[in-house]
Amino acid sequence: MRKRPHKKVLVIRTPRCCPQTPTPSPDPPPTADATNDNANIGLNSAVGPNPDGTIPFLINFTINGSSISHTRGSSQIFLQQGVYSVTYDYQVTLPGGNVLITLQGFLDNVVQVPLNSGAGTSSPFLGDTTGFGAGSAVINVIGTQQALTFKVGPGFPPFGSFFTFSVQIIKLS
Amino acid sequence: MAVTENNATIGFHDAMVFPQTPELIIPFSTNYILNGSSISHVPGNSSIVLQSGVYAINYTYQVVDPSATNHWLTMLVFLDDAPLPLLNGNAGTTTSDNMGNSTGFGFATGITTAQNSQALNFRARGTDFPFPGDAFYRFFSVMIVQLI
Repeated sequence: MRKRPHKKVLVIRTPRCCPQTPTPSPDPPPTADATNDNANIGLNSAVGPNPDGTIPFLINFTINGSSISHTRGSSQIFLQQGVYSVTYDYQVTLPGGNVLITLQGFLDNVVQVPLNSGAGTSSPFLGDTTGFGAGSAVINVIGTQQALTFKVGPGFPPFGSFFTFSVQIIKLS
Repeated sequence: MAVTENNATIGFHDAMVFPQTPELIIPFSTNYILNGSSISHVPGNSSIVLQSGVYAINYTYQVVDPSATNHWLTMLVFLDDAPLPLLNGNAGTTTSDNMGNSTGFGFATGITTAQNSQALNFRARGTDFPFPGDAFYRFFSVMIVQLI
């Protein structure tokens, strides 16, 4: 009787070990949202511009985080490096009526054109000697910090004043 | 979840007619966008309820004085009964042959901190408001984004 050739069987041995349970990855450390840094700064009483045309802000209504700082009464809002959403509105009283003003936003001494806004009055009709203005833009603050200011031009009426002014600043990144 | 995922746009966009009252608390008919759980509002209600947090608020509106005369409107914003002065947004209207044709426009921007379940509401008042007769609001939009 002929012997059948021995058939080779390939055996793959697996390590004898208890089944491994996946180790849960640790939760990522909580990261602070950039928007934790935000501020609402302005005024709510009649205030005229400084001799250089900048607007002094009397109220720090809200300042959260460390990226935005402002001293009450100062026209400068200091922003640390980053990207910020800036939105503002104001109500301005311009004696004489029929007056057009332009307000400009600056970072240090560089005008931020998208932040500019205008306001007009039409005495004795709409608002009489009162005008309303608003502006908004995303701005990029470079270096350690820069000063955000708002400024009117030399044609601003001598006895004109801002009755309300509200600047909303939100750090985006 | 980023905290900014709590956001909303609430208002109306139709010719709403309100009765003449010493102070008008503006009701909002429409929740255009309402994301997350921090902001809540029942359509038709004047109160927008905010849970604890810090919120950016921007709003705009258009008001029509049917008597077509020169009027002045003061829009005050409150959190419960506490005024939020930097969120006040006024508007004026004029006679029909001048700019706006009896229509005024208002807007404001700000940031406020809410404690648990506080109600944000908008109140119109002023020396010329309410107008003689009904006041028509054609448009009102409140955008709210939670920041913290």
